[in-house]
Amino acid sequence: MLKGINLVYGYGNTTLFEGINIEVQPGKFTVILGPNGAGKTTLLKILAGFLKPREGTVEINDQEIFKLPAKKRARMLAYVPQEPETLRDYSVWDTVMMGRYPYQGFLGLETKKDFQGVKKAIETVGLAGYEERTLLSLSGGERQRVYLARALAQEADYILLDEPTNHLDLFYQVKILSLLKDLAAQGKGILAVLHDLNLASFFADRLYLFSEGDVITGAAGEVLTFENIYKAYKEPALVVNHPVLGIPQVLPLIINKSSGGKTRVHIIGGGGMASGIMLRESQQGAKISAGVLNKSDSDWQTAKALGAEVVEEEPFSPISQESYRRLLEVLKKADKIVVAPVPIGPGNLQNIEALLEVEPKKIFIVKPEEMEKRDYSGGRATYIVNSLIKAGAQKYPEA
Amino acid sequence: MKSWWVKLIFGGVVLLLLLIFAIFLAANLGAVKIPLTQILTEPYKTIFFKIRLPRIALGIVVGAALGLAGTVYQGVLKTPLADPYILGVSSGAAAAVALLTLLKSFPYYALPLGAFLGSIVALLLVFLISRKPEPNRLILAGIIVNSFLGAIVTFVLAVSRENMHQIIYWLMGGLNNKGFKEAGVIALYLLLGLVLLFVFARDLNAMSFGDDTAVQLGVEVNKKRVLFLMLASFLTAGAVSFAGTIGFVGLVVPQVVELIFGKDYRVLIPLSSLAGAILLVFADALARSILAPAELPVGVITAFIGAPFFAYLFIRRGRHA
Repeated sequence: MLKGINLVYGYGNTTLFEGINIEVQPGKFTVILGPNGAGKTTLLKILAGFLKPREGTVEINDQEIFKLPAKKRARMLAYVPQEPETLRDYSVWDTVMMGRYPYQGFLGLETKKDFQGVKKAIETVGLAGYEERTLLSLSGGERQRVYLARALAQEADYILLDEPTNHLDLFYQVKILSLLKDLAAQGKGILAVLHDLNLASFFADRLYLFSEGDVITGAAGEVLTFENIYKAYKEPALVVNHPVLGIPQVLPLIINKSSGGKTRVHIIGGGGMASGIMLRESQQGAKISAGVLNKSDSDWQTAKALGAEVVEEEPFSPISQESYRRLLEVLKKADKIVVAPVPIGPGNLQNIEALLEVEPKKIFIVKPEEMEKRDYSGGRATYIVNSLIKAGAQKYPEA
Repeated sequence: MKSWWVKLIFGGVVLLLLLIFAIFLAANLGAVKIPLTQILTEPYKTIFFKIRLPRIALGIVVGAALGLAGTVYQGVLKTPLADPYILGVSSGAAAAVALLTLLKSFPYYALPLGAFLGSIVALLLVFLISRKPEPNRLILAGIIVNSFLGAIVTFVLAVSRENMHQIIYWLMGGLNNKGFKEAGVIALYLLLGLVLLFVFARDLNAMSFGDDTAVQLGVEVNKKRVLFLMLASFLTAGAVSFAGTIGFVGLVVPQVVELIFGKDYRVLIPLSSLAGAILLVFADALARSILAPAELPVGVITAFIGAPFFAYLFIRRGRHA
């Protein structure tokens, strides 16, 4: 196990992070995420054993890493830095052979074992046949695989990588990360700094998200939430489940926050059905309110991100009397009320019932004709919608 | 898989043959043509063994030292634009030697030692002034240090009227009026430098991927960098103390050798010393024969080759940036 214990680091008077604990387990793919300048590379260098923290220590297999001789450390841990700006145009073979440095003696004559190690490493990353090619003749993704092969030739238990997917196209990123995942499955402890939250969500066994000088850790589902992302990046983002894989995916919300004009628009939604409407209304200059919504519902996230007034309930709770009363207050203030095409059941029926208390002319309903299809309240919701339409409620124009 | 030592042996043999050719050419050329068949008869025998051969020997060791120093500077500073002359290291050694000549009597062996100190001081100044070891900054710092040290040398020249001519000629770089003794001293410098640099060549390989990569591979980068720069300055000082400031050998040689024999410093370090020797022996043969019976300082020939080459490197680099 590679362990960073209570790490403190800073430059001059500024503290970059204070008391970080981090673990890299063999057989696991661990990922560090966080905004630019949070100290991800610094943390990686500390864990790699060549930058001393202000406080705290790093242990590799229960030995303090800073006390190990450099070559011994290099046999236990490999670090793949970001690509340098100027490259000397070595061949693939020579580059990977450099990974054998910590094993070579005085004159560095290559042994049979060195040759085999290099050959195997090049095969593992899928570059067999490329041995005589030179670095500058390769694509960025291929070079990244060469550096990975060099780390493999070090035969270290732990491989630390600083943004190994930088400058690569999406599918090459997937290729590199799959390779890392395979290596983890073969027993290596992999730690990578990544930028792409969604790929991290897919590949990582464990995440560390830099946030305000600390790290939030856990599985993707625990770390990648609206609140955590907002805390770390100071930007709102929608967290949804991947439609096929079911893992959390983060969608940035590009919002014109300066809007928030005079017209108040209340949106009744849930389950993400109202997010698009909220964005649209907000961008048209409306002041948004929403509810009643359960916390962490994706519409709730969007509403929060838009800075809307939200009437909220705990997750999976029915609408309480208090919330209902607040909903009525908000509805009365609203100039316009939009009803998103949400399924209506006993849990949220009161959102619809409340509409009977307000002026029907300011109500706009999305696809009122399809209400019956999404009615799980035994016909009550359909009845209300139909009577609202009769009383002057309008159909909401679709985008 | 072409191993590095295959390249080294192949390149070594090729360059050795070229060097032998250069030696024969240099032995033959000059104010007096020596017919090879009469080499052992007077007066050719004296000219060959007492004048030509010592001079060739000096050319070999000085050229080797400068070529090697250039390779190391370029490797450590990661720019093809570095060489002992441009960085001001040669001037540092020269200024120290010039100052030493002001003392009426100094021990013979003090000359290279003084030159070494001078070169180290110059290098430190260059680093202090450039602050960041970026190519452009290093070159500008080199110009600053060069001009200051040049002033010291001019000052010494003005003060010491009697051997002014001698100092001027030495400054321009020349292999004349020296013997096996001087060549022997530099050969010792060269041997020490060559062995140590060859042993640590892999560290230079690793360092060319950036400090992070080298450190993670277990190279003690900071210690090694100082060691490499000291050794290169040591070699420069040895060459300058007896042959003056011969420019551009250290600039041209590493680039050409790298172009032909690849990037591995285990190959480049031995071969760049051989190539440096070849270049200087050729250049000196030219210097002696172009205006025969008059002689040009060999530094003039190397500058005629080297300065345009420097311009070429500079332009090419600008285009890639």
